[in-house]
Amino acid sequence: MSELWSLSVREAGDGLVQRKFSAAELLDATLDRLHQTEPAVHAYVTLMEDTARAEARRADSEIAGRKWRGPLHGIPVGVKDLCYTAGVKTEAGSRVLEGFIPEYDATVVTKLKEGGAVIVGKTVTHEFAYGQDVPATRNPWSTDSYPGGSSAGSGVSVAVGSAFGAIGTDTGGSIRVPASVDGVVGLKPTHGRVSRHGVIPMSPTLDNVGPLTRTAEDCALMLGVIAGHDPLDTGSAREPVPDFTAGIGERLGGLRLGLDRVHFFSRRVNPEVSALCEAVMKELRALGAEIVEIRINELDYAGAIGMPILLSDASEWHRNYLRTRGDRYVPATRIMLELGEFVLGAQYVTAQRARAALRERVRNAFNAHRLDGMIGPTLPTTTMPVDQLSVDLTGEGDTALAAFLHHTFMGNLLGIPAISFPCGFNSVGLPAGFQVYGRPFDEAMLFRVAHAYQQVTDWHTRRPQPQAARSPVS
Amino acid sequence: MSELAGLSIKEAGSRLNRKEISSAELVEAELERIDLTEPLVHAYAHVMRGAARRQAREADAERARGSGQGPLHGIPIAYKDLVYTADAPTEAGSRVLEGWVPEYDAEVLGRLRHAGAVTLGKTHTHEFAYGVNIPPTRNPWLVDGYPGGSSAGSGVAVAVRSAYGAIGTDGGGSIRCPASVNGVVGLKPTTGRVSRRGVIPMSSTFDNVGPLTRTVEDCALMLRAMAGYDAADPMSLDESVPDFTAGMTEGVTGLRLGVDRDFFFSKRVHPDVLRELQQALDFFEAAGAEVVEVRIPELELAVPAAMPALVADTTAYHRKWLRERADRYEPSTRVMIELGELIPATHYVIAQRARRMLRVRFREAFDSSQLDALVAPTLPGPTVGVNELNLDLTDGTGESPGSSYFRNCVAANVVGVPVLSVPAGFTQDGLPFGMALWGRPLQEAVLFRIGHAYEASHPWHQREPQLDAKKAAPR
Repeated sequence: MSELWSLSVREAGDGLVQRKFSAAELLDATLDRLHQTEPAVHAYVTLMEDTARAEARRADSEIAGRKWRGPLHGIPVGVKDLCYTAGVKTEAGSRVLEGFIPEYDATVVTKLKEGGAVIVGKTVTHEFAYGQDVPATRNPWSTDSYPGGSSAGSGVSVAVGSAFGAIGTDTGGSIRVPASVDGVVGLKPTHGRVSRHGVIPMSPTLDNVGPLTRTAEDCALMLGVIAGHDPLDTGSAREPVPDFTAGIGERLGGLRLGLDRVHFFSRRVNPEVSALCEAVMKELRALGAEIVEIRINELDYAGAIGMPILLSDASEWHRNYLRTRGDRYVPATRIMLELGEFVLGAQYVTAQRARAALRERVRNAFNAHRLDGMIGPTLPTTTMPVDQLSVDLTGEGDTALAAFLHHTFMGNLLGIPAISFPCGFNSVGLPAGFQVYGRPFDEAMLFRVAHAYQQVTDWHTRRPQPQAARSPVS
Repeated sequence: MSELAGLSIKEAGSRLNRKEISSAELVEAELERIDLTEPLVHAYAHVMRGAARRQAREADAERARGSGQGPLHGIPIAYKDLVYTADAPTEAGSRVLEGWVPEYDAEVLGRLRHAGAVTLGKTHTHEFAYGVNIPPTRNPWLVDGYPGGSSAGSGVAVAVRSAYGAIGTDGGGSIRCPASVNGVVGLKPTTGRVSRRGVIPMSSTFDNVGPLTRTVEDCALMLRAMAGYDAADPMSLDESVPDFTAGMTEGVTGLRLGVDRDFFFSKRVHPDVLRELQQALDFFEAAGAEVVEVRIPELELAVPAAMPALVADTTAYHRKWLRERADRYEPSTRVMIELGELIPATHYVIAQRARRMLRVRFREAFDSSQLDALVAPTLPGPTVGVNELNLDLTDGTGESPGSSYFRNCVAANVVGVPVLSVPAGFTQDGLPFGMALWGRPLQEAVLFRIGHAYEASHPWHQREPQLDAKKAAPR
């Protein structure tokens, strides 16, 4: 049998229920892996070993007493450090919140605990998820490289096996970017699907909380635990939570997936990534999906529409901190927050109006072409060394971050769900991701596509063996 | 005045159904009334004589065929000039839209036409409903008096009986204010109750379309025909539309009516208004309602929460015109729109956050005191001369009559609840004022019930303004 830490959530859960091993053993294996990999990747900012051990023991006794709480019972998971954890430091990657200990759990944490999950620790994030600084985390496939962000530690911990799954947040791509560059599965759920109560926000209308896992099925299991209406989140949707794994094994016959080549396969896309994604599409066709060429011109404006909203919402939340402890921000974050104060109200309103128009255009395109989803590369590239993040990679004045947003931001603006799953490696062994967008609340379709692909490929089973970077980081 | 012009919608409809009169006669009575009153009050921006006569003939023909028995069938109605009319200019009181004829009718007009209502004309509004300039309309109760705004012409037309009912819009009090100062009934419905498609906006989250009428019952009849879900209006509520007159005559027994004396009954309020409102509360108690003292301190936040959002929303709509034809705006409107460009987006976001909090507090106040409605003066006083509108009349608090109107009304737009204004008496100088009944979301029927009980024993609406041609204000 494989090493315990490398099992999927499904396999580990089955093993626990069948008493092949205990939650305590699962946690030990995970912590061993964590201590082995942390010096190289720095996925965690705060470890919760003591409470994790207590949770694992409790899971063992409950499972022994046939009180099974569900697919995450006894499973070690990580939680992004934007999520409130009662009694445990929550610092959002910032000195502004140094030493802050919330008095209550975020709803997503409560749901994990109620589901019996074992919380290993808090994972590293860009400062306040803004993505301007470079956190300590490193990519396990190339340890001088960018781990993705802002849910950096969540992506990396799942990739290396120091968590079976992890919670991330996604305001412009912050779950899907690390999923893509770290070679794991990441889901940005439909807006309102998962409560944001107790999660430090960037923008109330763009923020989403979602899972990162190694398999599509695990992702479906984890979403099933954390989803659901929460009156404490004003953006929470009153939608029933289905069993997301119910139709996951169905073939893809009858599915229609839209492909906007102009938007998603422009010359900004690295040729190797492009080739890997073409291979995915060939595979999806072989599995029965129909791929329909479409063009939605307005998608190209997503960045221009989203930025005024994101900037103003973030600056509004930080207004007081910026005035009382502005010196504690990383300079790059502070500059963005200060810039955000210059956005005008009329521009904000115009952006929201344009957003409504964009939503209508995309809805019309889905209806006109009878689409179930839209597909493309998650990102135009694989990861790159951290010191090249702000370098123009495309010859068109795009930095890496701006090029990432081109592929991911539309999901947040439109509120539709999107999944990223691993689709292979480039010639130097760096993973790439494939993205599927779906209709609102149709996450099940995303899982079905990703799962079908994972049944005929094995990219998702490969685990990195990170070595400490040549230039040590702290 | 022709006796026909003095009828309520309900009475006119009954007589139409009994075939005692025709819609054509109603239209002629109103056109005659328009000819008589317009030189004095200037309620109409555009009278649609041809369309009204044609539609009346059609209505009469339908009735002769046995169809069209609804309460609005054949009734002449006026529309604020923000409402798109495909067969008449829609100028929003502005030279910016001079001569513009929309390509389609507003949803609300389509629904009223579907109910058989006859389109009589377009009524004056403050420029783009912004309430900064003074439109040519004058108050029929006071020579050179403020007619209320921004649905000025709609309120005045109903008051002088040159329309049986009129459509107004309310982004911060613009239906209730003219209802109050002209002595008519006006309803700001629950936000989302009536579609705003084809109505020139101020702010998509503050705007409401609603009726102004002579009686509470007429108001309920009109709302029923206007209301209902419209997918083309993103704020529209997918809610069923009840018969708003159903329980209207049940009286107020057992209802709980809240009074916030600190906010609505301060010493800034005109003594005659205070006296009559107290009399109204006594009446409600005697009629079996329970009057409950409440305090909603957050009402004080309504203006600061509203302003950044309202102003930025309005400015966003006007951005292009401001750059292409700014010289066509009234200077005072232009200044407001330009000022709106200076509002930072962070203030806009804070205002929306404060708004959500105010909505929660409002709901909590209604729930904890188990209120059916809140009773208040619609405005702190009666109308004033148009020249006094922006004077500080409040012994140094710095509040002009115009800003006090906004202060009394805008919380309903901030939180989205319905408010019915009914005539509540006259000052010793003979100027009318209104009582505002604030309700729970979608509970307009309760407000009609309370308003109807009051109106039945306080028939202020039967008084008519005595227009004196000799004192007519020059246009």
